Amino acid sequence: MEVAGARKKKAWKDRRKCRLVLFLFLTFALLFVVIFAERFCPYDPNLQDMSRSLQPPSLAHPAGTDRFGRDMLSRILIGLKTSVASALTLVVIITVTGTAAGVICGFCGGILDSAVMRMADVCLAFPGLVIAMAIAALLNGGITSAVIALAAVSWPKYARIARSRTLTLKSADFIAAARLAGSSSAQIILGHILPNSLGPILVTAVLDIGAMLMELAGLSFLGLGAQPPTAELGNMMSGGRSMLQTYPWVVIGPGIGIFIAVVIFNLLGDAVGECLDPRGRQEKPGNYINRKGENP
Amino acid sequence: MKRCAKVLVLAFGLWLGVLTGCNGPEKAAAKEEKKTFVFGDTTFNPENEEPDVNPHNTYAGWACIRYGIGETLFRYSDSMGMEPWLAAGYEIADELTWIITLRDDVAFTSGRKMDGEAVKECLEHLIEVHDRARGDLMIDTITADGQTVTIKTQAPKPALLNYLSDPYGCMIDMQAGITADGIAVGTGPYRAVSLVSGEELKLEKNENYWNGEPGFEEIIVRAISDGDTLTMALQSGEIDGAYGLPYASYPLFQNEDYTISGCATSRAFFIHMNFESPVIQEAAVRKALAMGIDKEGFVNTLLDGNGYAAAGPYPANVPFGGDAVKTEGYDPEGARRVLENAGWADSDGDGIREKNGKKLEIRWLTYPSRQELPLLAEAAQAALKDIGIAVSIQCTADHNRLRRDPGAWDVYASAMVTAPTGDPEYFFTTHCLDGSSANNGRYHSDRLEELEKELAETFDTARRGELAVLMQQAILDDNAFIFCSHLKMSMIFRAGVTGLTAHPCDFYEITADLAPVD
Amino acid sequence: MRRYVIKRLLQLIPILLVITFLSFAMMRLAGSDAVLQKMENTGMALSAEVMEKARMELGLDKPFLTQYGVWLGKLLHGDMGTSYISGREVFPVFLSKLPATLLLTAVSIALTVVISVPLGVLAAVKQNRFTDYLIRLCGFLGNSMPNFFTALLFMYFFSIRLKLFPVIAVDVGIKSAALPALTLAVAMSAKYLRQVRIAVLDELSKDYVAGAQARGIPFSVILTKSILRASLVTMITLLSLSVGSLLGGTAIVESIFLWDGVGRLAVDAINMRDYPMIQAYVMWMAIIYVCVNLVTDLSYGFLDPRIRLGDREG
Repeated sequence: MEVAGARKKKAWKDRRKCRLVLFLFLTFALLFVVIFAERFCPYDPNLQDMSRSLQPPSLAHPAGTDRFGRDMLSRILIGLKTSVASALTLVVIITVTGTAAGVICGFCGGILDSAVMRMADVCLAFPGLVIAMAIAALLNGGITSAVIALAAVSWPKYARIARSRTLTLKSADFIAAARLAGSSSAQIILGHILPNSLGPILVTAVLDIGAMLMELAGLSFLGLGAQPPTAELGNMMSGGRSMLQTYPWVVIGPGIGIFIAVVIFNLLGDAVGECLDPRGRQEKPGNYINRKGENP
Repeated sequence: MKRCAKVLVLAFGLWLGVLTGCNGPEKAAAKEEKKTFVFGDTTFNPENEEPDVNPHNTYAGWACIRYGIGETLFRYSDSMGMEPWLAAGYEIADELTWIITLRDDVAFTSGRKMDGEAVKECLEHLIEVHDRARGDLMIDTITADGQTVTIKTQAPKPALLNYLSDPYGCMIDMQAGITADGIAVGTGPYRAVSLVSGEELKLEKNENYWNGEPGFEEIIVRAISDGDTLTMALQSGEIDGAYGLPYASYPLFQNEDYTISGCATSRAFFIHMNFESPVIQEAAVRKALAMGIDKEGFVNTLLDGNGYAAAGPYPANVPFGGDAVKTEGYDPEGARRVLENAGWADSDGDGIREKNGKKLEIRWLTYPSRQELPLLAEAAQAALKDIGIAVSIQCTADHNRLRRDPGAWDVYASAMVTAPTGDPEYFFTTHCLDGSSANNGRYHSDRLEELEKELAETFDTARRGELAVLMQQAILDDNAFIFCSHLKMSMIFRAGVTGLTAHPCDFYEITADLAPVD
Repeated sequence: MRRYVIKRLLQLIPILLVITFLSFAMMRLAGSDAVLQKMENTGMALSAEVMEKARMELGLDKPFLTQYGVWLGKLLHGDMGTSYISGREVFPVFLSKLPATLLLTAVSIALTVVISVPLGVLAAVKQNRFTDYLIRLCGFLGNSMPNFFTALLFMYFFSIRLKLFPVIAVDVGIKSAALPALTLAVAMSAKYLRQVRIAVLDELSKDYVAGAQARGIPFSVILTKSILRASLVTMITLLSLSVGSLLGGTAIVESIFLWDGVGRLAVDAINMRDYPMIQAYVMWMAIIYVCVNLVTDLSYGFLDPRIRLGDREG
């Protein structure tokens, strides 16, 4: 009985690893397609040909053409590149700044800690939409402003995780030992605290990619993100929105594009989470709070 | 557990059923009885300066006239000429004095007769509260005597009748007043009963209408700011007619179940040249730009034929508009030659021309709130690249700040109304003269200033038209603006209804002609 | 307890001050103003004098700090100002949009709970069986659909094809709330059912479950009496977060379905640069945020005595 149980457990673990590998592979495949998007495009995504405008999907144009007569498949690939690249940038920005702020706050405490944490409160309570709008106008629109706006309201989440990890670790024996051994604060942070808090932060970050992809697309859909000349999936959808009934491929194609990318990143996030923390404990309250869950 | 799941699915199904079961048929039945027409409009909201139906409120105040509540003393004919409406006729006593005779058979829906006194009260209130009207009309004094009104202006006002026909000139009964909701009492075929700003307006038939029998008992105007929702509402039968549908949804209604009525308006999509930008200062570049933009292609393909390629600022349905002026046609070959002769050549083979080591690059400023503008920008970007001009597009809601910064752009594409009152002077005074508020490109032409001086003092309509043609030609010869297309304004309504006709001035929507087909 | 609540509510004041100031500053920096936006919409050029006059009436010609000072001063007297666009008082307009938002929030939360709790429990009980995989797959797909895509598809199928629901939310009622609520519920349920599943699995693996089963207590009793209660904390956290963001209005879904709620109001106000309205919205969001956090923390105390108030940083 016990042996069988252990074997089962091991098989289960292997399966989990298999899944992680599979999803990692999928992610890399997606990234590969995205990075070399130009190579995969069957046509020049910006080549207009009014005589072929709004053609339904065919062998020559697997995803049809838009109203400028541009090949939708090429546009979707390039749009995917914009979307994925900006989502990844966004996640990197918030992970790095959030973690840095959290670790430093947790480690130093005092006025700095409360000041930064109050700032985090303000950011959390600030409607992302207003920030997005203001920043879009300040930077004259474009996907960059959407990224900055979302970063402004998303970093506190990471700051909180990092801070609570740091607080726990700070009182741990090995930190005290390191301190006794003469390590400087910087050494302790870089050598002990960071490596030991990275796990949950990374899981959160990977899980966040999909969500951020959707948030960015949502802002673009509202006209606050990427502006027309840039191919981006959210604005392709909002631009084609009125054609949902007449020329559905113009909307559904980019929709499926976002969907696939989000699914892949979500699967990966899940697998990473399972491997690092089998019971998914990282998602219990107090550890991290996914505030901007539903909508921008 | 399985049973549990089944029960759940059932419960959910039931819930949906309950939701969908309630009302529906009753509503339709009520509609039959009362002969109600439901009209959906994307512009009936405070964002479009139409918070209510009081013509004296806000800058535009189009709702009063559009929904058949108020009428003006004169109206625009189909060719944008002036014809009497509530007035019976007029006489110009001298340059400053207009004597207007009123119809004798018109009453407000309050029951009060529309006489000289009522008109005087209304106009006096208008110029007291409405800045634009005050500036347009420049009324000095108004005297009323029975059914005649004498208006004295402070300066010669050749286009006075045009301005009086602006929606703000709707005759309303000032004694009846304006309710807190913004409901005014007019003389039109319908009277407003209730109004929720930005949502819904209820109108009832004016039983004593002076000019025929209104066709419906009740009209409901619904503010639906989103074009796609409007489309679906018309499809599902929740509304009977619509204004402001997106072009892409027109194919859904091009069948016997719907009628589409459209015509050209003076809302023009046009490009300002920035005369402070070194590249644009070069006449050859402006000429090449004018020759390099495919207006026909833009209208036919991107707007699905819902527009008219433009030559000058005015559409073809006004006497001085359309082909009355000549401008560059789409001619990529010619554009290349023009650039070649001016010394712009592609020496490094990247497809973009350069001169003295400087690339031919144009910064194109535009904004997204008009769906056609980003399309125009993208289409032009591709077409101009073809003749060796690189275009970088900046499409931003912040264009109003940027357009006033001459260092920020080379060309600026906007959508503005060029002749809201049917009179040509408006466009030049707002866009082309030294003191014009929307002369974004700091364009200056001595000849134009001179012509404008004459126009400002000319009363004869025919001569005004001639001057307008000369002035348009002057700006077109300089390629100071490129006029791409005029908006085709369309209303779509369900078969079974008649009398909803699009008008070039965009002011008249619901009239007494609107009626069910029996 | 009371002191704790008061302390938390007092924290609201500096947050409000900073937030309103920031949003004031940001919207001013964003360029354009209500006068220009209206001109753009109507497409009629205004003369410089008319524009200046309109700006003066709105107080837009004054320096930025003065404008903020004036606004703040009025606020302290309970006056939130009048809308630059409609000219109506901001506060009543804002209040009039609240019922719609509250209704949408309530219906979508109810739908979410109805969908996700049973499915989450079912998936946990049938762990690693076909049912589990199916439910998780659906959850996955639901979680990966951008909500505007879901909204458009729902609208197309339910309203146009099947004609089950009205397209325009004519009145604020359950029927017109159905589609927007369902759209929101799809994404939320997907997230919830994962969490419910994890929480239930967590409990199932605990010793007391095996013990209770050994004592012959029916599984259904254990499930309802112990396990569901234990997973309540997870639910409450999730719920509070969703309620918070739902109460702030869901700009995209509200504008697609023309739902006349706070979110749409906010988008319109931002697009039109209607500063007083934006300020009202920003304040509302901050208040919700602080209150929801407070209520959540208090509820932890009731549900799980191990969590002591004041431990969590808010």
